[in-house]
Amino acid sequence: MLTRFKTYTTQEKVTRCAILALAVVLLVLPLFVTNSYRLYFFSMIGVYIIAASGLDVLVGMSGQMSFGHIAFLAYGGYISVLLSNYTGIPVIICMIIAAFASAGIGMVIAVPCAKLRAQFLVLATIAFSFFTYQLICNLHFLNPYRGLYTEHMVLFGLDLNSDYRYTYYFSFALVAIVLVLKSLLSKSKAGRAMMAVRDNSRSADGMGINVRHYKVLAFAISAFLCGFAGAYMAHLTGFIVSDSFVQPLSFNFVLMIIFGGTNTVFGPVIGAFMYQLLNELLASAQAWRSVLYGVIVLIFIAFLPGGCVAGLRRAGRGLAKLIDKNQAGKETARNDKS
Amino acid sequence: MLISVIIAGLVMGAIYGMVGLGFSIIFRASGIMNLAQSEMITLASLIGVTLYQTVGLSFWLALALTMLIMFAFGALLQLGIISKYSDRGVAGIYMVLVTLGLSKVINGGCELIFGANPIQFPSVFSVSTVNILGAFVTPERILSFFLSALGMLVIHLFLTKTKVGIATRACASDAVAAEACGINVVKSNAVVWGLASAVAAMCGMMLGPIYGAAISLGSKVGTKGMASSVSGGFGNIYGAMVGGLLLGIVESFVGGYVNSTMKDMVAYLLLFLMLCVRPTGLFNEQAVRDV
Amino acid sequence: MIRAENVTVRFGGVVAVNDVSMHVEKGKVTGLIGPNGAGKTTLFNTINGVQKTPEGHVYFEGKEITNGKGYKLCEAGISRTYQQINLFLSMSVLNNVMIGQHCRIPYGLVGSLFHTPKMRRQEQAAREECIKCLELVGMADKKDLPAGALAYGEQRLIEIARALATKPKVLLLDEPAAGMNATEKLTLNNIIQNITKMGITVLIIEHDMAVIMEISDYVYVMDDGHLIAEGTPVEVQNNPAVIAAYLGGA
Repeated sequence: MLTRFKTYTTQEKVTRCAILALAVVLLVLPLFVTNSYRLYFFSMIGVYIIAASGLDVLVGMSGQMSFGHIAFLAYGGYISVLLSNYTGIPVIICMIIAAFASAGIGMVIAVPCAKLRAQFLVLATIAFSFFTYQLICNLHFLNPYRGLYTEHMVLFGLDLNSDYRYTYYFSFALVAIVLVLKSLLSKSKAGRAMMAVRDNSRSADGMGINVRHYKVLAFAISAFLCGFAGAYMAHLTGFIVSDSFVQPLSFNFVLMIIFGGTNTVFGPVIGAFMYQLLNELLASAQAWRSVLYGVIVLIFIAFLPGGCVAGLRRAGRGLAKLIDKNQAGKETARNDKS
Repeated sequence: MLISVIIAGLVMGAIYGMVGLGFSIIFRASGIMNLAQSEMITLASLIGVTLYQTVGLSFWLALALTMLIMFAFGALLQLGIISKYSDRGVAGIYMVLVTLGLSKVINGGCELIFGANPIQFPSVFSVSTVNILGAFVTPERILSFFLSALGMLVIHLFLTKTKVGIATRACASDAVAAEACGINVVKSNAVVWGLASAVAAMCGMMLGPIYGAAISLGSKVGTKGMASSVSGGFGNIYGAMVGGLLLGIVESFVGGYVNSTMKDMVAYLLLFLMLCVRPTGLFNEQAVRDV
Repeated sequence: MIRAENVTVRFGGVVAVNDVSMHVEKGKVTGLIGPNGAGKTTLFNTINGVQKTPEGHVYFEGKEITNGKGYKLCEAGISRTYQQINLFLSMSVLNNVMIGQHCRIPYGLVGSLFHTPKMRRQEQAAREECIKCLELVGMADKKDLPAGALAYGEQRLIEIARALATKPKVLLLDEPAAGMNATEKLTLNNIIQNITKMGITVLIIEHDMAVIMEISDYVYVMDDGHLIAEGTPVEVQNNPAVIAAYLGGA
């Protein structure tokens, strides 16, 4: 491991150290933060990261925009809750089944949508999301206005809902898995094909890529992750209600990836943290929040289209250069002495 | 029952058509799907109710003044913000996001200025209902229907008969060629955004008496307006009106004969299916296929 | 290898390609020349499935491929470059060429997500193949740069490398020399000759008579949608109709 680390360039070393430091800080955090609401607050960030990562596969990787992904959280959440409430299947398995079901729904709607151009796809996803909300409101067995209570998540006999420290680490593990998989995907045949479709769908077609196939695949993967996030959210809060899935909430996930940086592994992480923090700080100033989120999107698209990750990368490059220069200086000093 | 359902459908349909018209005008001229259009309606209705109720102007004067204010606001929005992003060559999917960001800012701004509570829109006429073939309708709804028809006619005349209107049409079909012919494309786009915002002002003033002026007004009718635009063929301004009427009638029938809570669901499902099956709408004008 | 029969393409009232038949022989370099707007690129697009045609037939190795899907034709062994640069500009040069290998890499979604040992092996092999293609066009040292950062002539060479990475049987080159200077054109001629040595059939559109006369074995001449002449370069050069089209028309 260490020998491999030595082969990296300084910039890669800086990046890896930063990621490691972040991971360590997050891992020991529950030792210092014992307030259970705070821990719940951090666990919830996990939900957002997973959902935003899912949306990023669609937006950042394959270049399709959606303003309706909250609908997939709704499908994932309700399917998982219904399954666990009525069949007694362990909750964790229900969550996975729900994610696959959500991916299936994503695929079904992506097949006709994949032929639409960017702006019309946006419209279709908005309509889909409005429709989903209305559908939930019209299904009375979901008790849409008062909500449904859900079963606890049990992993190897450990009741995760009994202590928010458990959900915190569960969130951490889930996020780690999702980020690793997403990073692997972006360095593979499928990820490359999606990026090719994003950059130039016409020439991707000429180069042997089935454009429709990869657009649908991106949709399915993003629906899978959002569905899973929805299911996790429901079981984490122990409660599911239709109001959590109104269409305008979809904007928040777009906000997260634009803020953090599209087509990056850590963009959704930064975005989700920022979102949850601002939400908390401006909890009582709804209107200011709306204005601020709008302004963030406007500013980032104009001045920092790569998001915070692009900014951090630039900073990391500067730091690496500084380290290199410093080392080179020491070396020459040593050479001078001898 | 049947007559009142049809009348309700026609009235709401005409308003949806007007809302859709606002989307279509901008899309046709600049290829931008302007999601901020819905919040322009919110803003207009709040400005309108302030002028009408708080300032105490007559309804017509308030309407005219609101349209003027909104025209200026829309034109400034295009000149000050949207054109900057188009100049930077922002990609299509991010352009939609820019308009969505704008809509958040406008919506939040409205809440900060006018408050979160809906404002009761005082009735325009002294009679509370009018009897049409046995159906009782509020006169504001009838007014809305005729205002929509009038608005449609005015916009038609503006685009086909006036010099400025013809210039905007030239820009829409080929901006580069229009520029070469001495048409100021920047100005033309500003006029188009102003026009769409004035249409939004009309919608706001028509919807105020029906739903009350509130910050949720735009999101309530915006998607319906988009649905009208799509079903009529996005970018086709006459199609938007036909699409709106169709949507209004369908909604009204579902609400009247099936279940009133289902009517929104049916409307959104229609929009989604329309996009899947026939994205070019009833009046084929824009090709939307990608590979 | 490729046979087009009576292909006609209309855009509204304009007939871009009018009843054109041609035959691309295996292992040879076939040239397609003609003045601007003669319909050369449209004919190319028809062969590679980008442009649909209601009339006429296209055969590839004896099988009909008329109106086929672009990606399927690429899998079958037809690859191309574009008149306007059509690279994936935000991706690295190597990744652009790796896209060319896309349909030759067998692993699927599971491999993509979990980087199985099988996937790593195939990916490594593909990368080596791509670097070979880049070496052929002399661009291997630029493999880690973003494609958008290269000069115009270099981007054209990357397009050729990307097309080669699809392991084509036939390579369609659409004005590869456009925007290149004299030295670059010379390099290009060498590259094309090396490609033919690899056993790849080449169909090339070129504007520049000098280039095409030097490298092609057989030449078709189009003007205003029609095929006006065909033959060896020398025959075509002395054909009065061709001279008229080049001197009188354009």
